[in-house]
Amino acid sequence: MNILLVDDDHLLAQSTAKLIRRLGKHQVRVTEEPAEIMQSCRSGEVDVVLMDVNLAGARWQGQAVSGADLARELKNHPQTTHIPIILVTAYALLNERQSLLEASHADGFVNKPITDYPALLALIAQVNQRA
Amino acid sequence: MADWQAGESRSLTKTMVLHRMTDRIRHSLNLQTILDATATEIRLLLQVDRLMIYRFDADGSGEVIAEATNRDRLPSLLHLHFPATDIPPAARELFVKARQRVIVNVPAQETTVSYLSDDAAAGLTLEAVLNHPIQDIVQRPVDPCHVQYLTNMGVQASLVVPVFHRHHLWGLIAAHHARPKTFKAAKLEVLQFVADQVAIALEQSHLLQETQERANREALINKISLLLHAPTSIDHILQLVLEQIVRAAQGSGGRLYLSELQANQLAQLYCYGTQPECDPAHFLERTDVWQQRMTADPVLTVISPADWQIPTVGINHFLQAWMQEEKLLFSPWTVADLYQEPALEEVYPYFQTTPIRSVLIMPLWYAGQCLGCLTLFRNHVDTNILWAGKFDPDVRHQPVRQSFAVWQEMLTSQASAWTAHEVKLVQAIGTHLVMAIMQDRLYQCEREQRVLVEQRNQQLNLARAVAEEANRLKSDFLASTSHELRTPLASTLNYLKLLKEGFYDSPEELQQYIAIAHQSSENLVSIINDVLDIAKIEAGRMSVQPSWVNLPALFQEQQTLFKAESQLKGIPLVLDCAVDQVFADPMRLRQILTNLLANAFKFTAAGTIHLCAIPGTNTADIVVRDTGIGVDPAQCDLLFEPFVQADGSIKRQYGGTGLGLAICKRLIELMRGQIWLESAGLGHGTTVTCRLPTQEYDV
Repeated sequence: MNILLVDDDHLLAQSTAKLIRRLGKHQVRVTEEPAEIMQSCRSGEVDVVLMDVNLAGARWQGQAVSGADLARELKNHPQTTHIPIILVTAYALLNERQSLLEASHADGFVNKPITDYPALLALIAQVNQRA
Repeated sequence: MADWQAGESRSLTKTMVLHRMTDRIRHSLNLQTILDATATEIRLLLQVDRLMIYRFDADGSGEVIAEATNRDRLPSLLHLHFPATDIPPAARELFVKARQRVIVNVPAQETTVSYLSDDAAAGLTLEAVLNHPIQDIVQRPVDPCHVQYLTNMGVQASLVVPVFHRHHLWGLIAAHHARPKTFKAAKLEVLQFVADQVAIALEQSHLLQETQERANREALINKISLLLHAPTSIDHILQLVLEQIVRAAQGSGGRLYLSELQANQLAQLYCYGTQPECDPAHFLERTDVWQQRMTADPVLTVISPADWQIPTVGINHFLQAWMQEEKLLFSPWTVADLYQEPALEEVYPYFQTTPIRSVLIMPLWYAGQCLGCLTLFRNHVDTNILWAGKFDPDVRHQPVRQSFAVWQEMLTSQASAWTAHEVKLVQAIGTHLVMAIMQDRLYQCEREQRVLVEQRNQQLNLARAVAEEANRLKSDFLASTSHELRTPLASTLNYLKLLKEGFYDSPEELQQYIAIAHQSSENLVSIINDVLDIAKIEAGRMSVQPSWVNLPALFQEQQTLFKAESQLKGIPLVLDCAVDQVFADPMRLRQILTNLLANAFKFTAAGTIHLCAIPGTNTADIVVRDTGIGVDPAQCDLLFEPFVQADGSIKRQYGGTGLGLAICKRLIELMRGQIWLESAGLGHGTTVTCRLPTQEYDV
């Protein structure tokens, strides 16, 4: 499975990617550039997106955007609407999580720090199957 | 009787006269017109020189109020008054009790007295009557004085018939003739009939007058009642009502005094018309006599619902219900002549320069509480009485006066008493007044309460808004803190997991992973420390221990601390200390300066960093100026909020918790100072200024 991991914390993203690769035998690409995310997804080489909600300084089409905004962009685009998206965030409040899911049309949600990698891999498999 | 039936023509005349008079009496409502006509008709009927209608006044004197006369034979006595002694009480009483008719034949010195009513004579007690046997016609010698009296008047024959109204002797019909004359029975019969008709006319006129007065009173009370409930200011209403009361009670002036409700309020006074001369005006109501009226137990009058005489239309239900019950009304204190009232002596000076002669004081009571009082004044009056002949009122037994020529008596500065009607009217209006005042006071009270409640609501809303904002800030802080703690924790956990799983490909990678995990943990600790600092400050549990801080020494210390970094980045730290000492917590001030200088070095790639101290008025400014990346001026204040960094990318590039400036600001404020940040814009450097006191203070 090809997974696109979006996170602005480089060191954290590298470690997460490595753990998913080793534990789940998936292909993981790391980026934080909105343009690159869009392009990769449209090219059809992405099966699941792991999207950090808090992307400091990310801009898309001249606007400051969050991971949730990018998720909605992908879901609204016919070419990428089928790609499952899992939001990752350190904002742990329950009501915020629900409103983020509704606003972004994302498929799943994972808390940061990720402590249970088997559960994350199961979620990835689940959303991929549903797609 | 034989004479009466003697001739057809005579009978016709008599019948016609009767018809004419009865008609006039029935069709005219004007008493004077009736009396004038009656006088004229009777004079013609009796063929006498003068026919007068005489009305008794309350004091026994009387006035000729209608007359028909042959001026060639007898002079007119119209509108002339006769003293009470002319028709003494005994004579008046005989008229009442025996309903007698008196015919005097002066030349014959003979009086014919006819008793008109048998039953009325039955209860006679008067000696004069008892001395004579009661019979239909009594003839006796006339009193010589009476003969002299009539002779002096130029009268030879006199016929007097009493006129009654409601069982009281109202007046007399008197016929005078300059020559001796006998009166025929038939004509006397007619005269008696006419006298009865006059009595009917009097009754009608009286009823009409009463009805009119009552209607006027009702109209006035209704008008005042409507006024009292009009939607204008109470001041305006009370002033108007006062004017109405004064006019209705025939007063010359009046005042409405409302006592102060509470100690901090002023008594109110409304005045209209003639006023006593006291200064300040409300001193009158402060005098003992007025205060006694307002504090003494009120004098009450029982008023039944029927006595109200107030149309209940347009009056609110409460008042209507109130009026259904039998009521005790407060009676005013009436003084006809204030100079005859010893109780008023203390206020004479206020009145002596004024024409006021009569006073009416009505305390306004409501539920056992005196609201104030209504006072009415009436000026003295001058009366001019025309008497029939001069007499001395002080001499009891005076000789019969020689002349009945007009004698004018001027009575000046007379007091005129308050009538029962006027008092009743003032009582009724006073009750309305009390209700209106109470209504207004209740309304004022309610309005004050409402304003108070509104104020409290506003305060509560404000307090709630503040509490909600504080709560929101706390939630935000909690959420931000949670987020900021999770990020380095995530890194630490990930790298430890990589190490634990053995997911490293070289010893270098192993060392790298350990270093990152360690660094992240340290980062986490510093964030936790900052958060704890902030929390401690916010909770008010952070204390400062200010003392005198030697600034040049502190600056030197900082230069030493940043020497390595300065040399490494090639950015000199320039000191310029023009202040010897500030009053601050040395440890906290060191923490702040280290923080500010660390920021300056972090965000500056090239140039110079200045650390200066500039003296001010009782203060000193410590300035950290760099030539670094600068700040959007719009964001300068925002940077002092927890977890705010000007740009998200700053964190990636420069790191940091976003709590440093927030902590600096709170610490500076604890030390009674100020901190602010200025920048000419992005890329133009940043200046942070801390203003601290240079005067000692107690914590």
